[in-house]
Amino acid sequence: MIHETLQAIAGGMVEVVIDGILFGLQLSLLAVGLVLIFGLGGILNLAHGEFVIITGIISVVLISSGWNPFIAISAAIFLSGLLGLALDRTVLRPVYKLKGEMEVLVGLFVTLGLAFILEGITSYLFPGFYFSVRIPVETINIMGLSFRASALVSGLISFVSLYLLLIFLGRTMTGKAIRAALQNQTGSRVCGIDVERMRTLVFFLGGLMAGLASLAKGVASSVEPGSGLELTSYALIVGVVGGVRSVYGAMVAGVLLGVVNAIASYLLGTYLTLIILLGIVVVVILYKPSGLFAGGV
Amino acid sequence: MDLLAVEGLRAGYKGLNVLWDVDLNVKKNTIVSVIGSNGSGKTTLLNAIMGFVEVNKGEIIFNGNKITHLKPQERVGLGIAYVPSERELFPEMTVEDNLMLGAYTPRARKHLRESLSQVYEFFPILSERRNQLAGTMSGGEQQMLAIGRALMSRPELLILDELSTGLAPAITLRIYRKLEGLSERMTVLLAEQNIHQAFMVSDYIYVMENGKIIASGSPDELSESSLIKSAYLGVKG
Ligand SMILES: Nc1ncnc2c1ncn2[C@@H]1O[C@H](COP(=O)(O)OP(=O)(O)OP(=O)(O)O)[C@@H](O)[C@H]1O
Ligand SMILES: [Mg+2]
Repeated sequence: MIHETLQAIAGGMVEVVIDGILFGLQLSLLAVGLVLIFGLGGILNLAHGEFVIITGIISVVLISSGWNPFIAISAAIFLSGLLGLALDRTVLRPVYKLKGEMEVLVGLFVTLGLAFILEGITSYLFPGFYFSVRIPVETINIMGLSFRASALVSGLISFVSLYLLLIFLGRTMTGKAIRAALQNQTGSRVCGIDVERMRTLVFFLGGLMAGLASLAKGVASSVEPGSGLELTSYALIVGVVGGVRSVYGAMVAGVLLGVVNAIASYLLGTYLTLIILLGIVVVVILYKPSGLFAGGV
Repeated sequence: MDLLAVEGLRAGYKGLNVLWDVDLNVKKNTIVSVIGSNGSGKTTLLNAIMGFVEVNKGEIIFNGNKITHLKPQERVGLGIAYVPSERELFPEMTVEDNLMLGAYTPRARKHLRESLSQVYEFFPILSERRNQLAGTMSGGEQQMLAIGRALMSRPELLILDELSTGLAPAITLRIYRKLEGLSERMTVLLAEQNIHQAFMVSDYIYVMENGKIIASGSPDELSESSLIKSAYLGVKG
């Protein structure tokens, strides 16, 4: 009897773990923009989740006014990038003039304020609204295991986005310059790199990644106004565990936490899952405050 | 012709001047040194030339153009390279990535491959360690990397702060000899603690004290001066 139960659990486990990885990729994509911006901008962007919401809203507005869905969603993602760029160029300008802890602190207040404002406006203007991309196929069977098609497609979108980001940061001169600026600003200037421009670019990239995360989430489930701060919290959890300046760390930590999340909710239920995730954060902060994968980009 | 001219420069930190009316000229294809005791203002002068220190008065002229108010990265774009005393490498990137970033400016990027093989020829150790992370290199290796990264930008003017830091005297000398070889197409400005080496390699020397230039001349002229003899060369005049 016990044996059979265990076997049933183990049998389901493969699917649960894969499901966790797919969800984790989504978390990675969500966190990576936050981490990029913090690493170079020194700003912990608490409005990050709102970018996800706004991308969803713009997509739906454009689609319902007759745009081709593919073009509409691409445009919305691009606009999310531009929104990041605008944030860097306008509201945060005065914040950069501050130094050290003051910059971090004021940056927190400014972006938190922005998050509340955007959360308020979007909830007020678009009540009961949601962005969801439906995949025509329900389930896909691979080697005797069955998966939700939406989860697979969402995971694929996340994976490709993250992969392209890594290629950009690792192989192109501009990508290398961004990493250089993350590691040593004086050294970057000595190489002729315009650090402020790299920061603006990073805000654009961060916005773009949030926009792509919106698509990934819209495919897997749905994006609704009012959930921006919750999304930001998830990004923060991933960021802290991975090392809040490490893009690579955020990617690995996202997948790791996705798997933990899936296993915990499978075995213990959703209620305990968040507690377990936060428990991991506390343990990481206590024993390795720089994050599990700190260093590198 | 002067490649670099510093005229009546007053500069310092937070409104307080460290440099007082500094004049300095660097002729094309020469090696010029600034010497002086600790805290005399050598690094501050180089930082001001690069744009890392606020200038309160005076002008900095490079190739006939005023660059006094350009940003550091803009000066690099014009053909000035800087090896700061703190090296300022990218510790989490490979040796090769550090070098490639040295050729970031458009004028340097065109010749990236060529420059890279020249630097590897200049410092074979960097070629052996090309995939090692810069932060894990030894102090001397990091110094070579910093110099190599500066050379990658194909500078007209190479500015070096304390080249000898962390390097064995023999290696320092070898690098100086190589720089002399390069001076056919490059001009070098250095700040040096090691006065004997500065005298050996320089065409012209400036002596700083308390943020002022107190003497200047060719090594021959200066070694005749009793002031310099007693203060710096340890010879009773
Ligand atoms: N960031 C700074 N803020 C305030 N004062 C500074 C700063 N950097 C240097 N100083 C001061 O400026 C003066 C000149 O320093 P500088 O580093 O230019 O000397 P140096 O000739 O390079 O000395 P060393 O041979 O030790 O490198 C010193 O009195 C130093 O205390
Ligand atoms: Mg110095």
